[in-house]
Amino acid sequence: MSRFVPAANLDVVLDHATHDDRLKVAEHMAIDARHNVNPDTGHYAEEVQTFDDDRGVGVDAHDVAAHIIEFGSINNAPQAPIRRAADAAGRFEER
Amino acid sequence: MTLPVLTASNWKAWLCGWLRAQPELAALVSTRVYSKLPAAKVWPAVRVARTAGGPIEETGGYLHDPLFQLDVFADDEATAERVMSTLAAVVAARLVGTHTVNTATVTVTSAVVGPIHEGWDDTAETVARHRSSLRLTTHI
Repeated sequence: MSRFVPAANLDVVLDHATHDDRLKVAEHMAIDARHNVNPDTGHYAEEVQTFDDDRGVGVDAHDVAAHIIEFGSINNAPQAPIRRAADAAGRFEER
Repeated sequence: MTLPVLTASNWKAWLCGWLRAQPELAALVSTRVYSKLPAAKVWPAVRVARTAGGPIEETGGYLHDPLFQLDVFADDEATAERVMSTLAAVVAARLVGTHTVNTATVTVTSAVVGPIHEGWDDTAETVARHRSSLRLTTHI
């Protein structure tokens, strides 16, 4: 019988080993997110970008209305461009 | 068997109708469960939007995993919290099972409500807004 004993720094090992692939997924997500919005969203698509910093690897948008475009408001339905892109890249679970 | 085609509108209409039929929720919001908020808004109210998910291609369209955004709007935070908590409770207690979505018989095998984000609406800061998500795993 064999047994797997994870290294104490397994999270760091996995982080390094998967970094480049996760960045590629984020780049595809950013492309998808730019296409997942209505044409009346101004410069939103230009403001979608990947990040790779102390938050990890991911996609965000710096547009002033990004939060409303993503989550909606009482006057706007949510368009969810980044969540739709995340779900298309793999099953997305909100945190 | 003919494969039923379910659209985002089918899912939203079904979930809105199912939520309206839950007496604990109806006691708080009456029939105000919408896929699109009306122009004349009365709170508290619930909005259901299908944000992602759909037929899983590898299964030939027989498995669906729709993801919804759930919003509760209210005049105060306590009401928003009560409505969202009630909504989450009825989903957890009763949504798993067999339903009719459009004309298709759909079995919901899993219904997971995500974390609840508490706050105020971005464009109307006097309106309390609690947001969450609902992921369903279903088969036709």
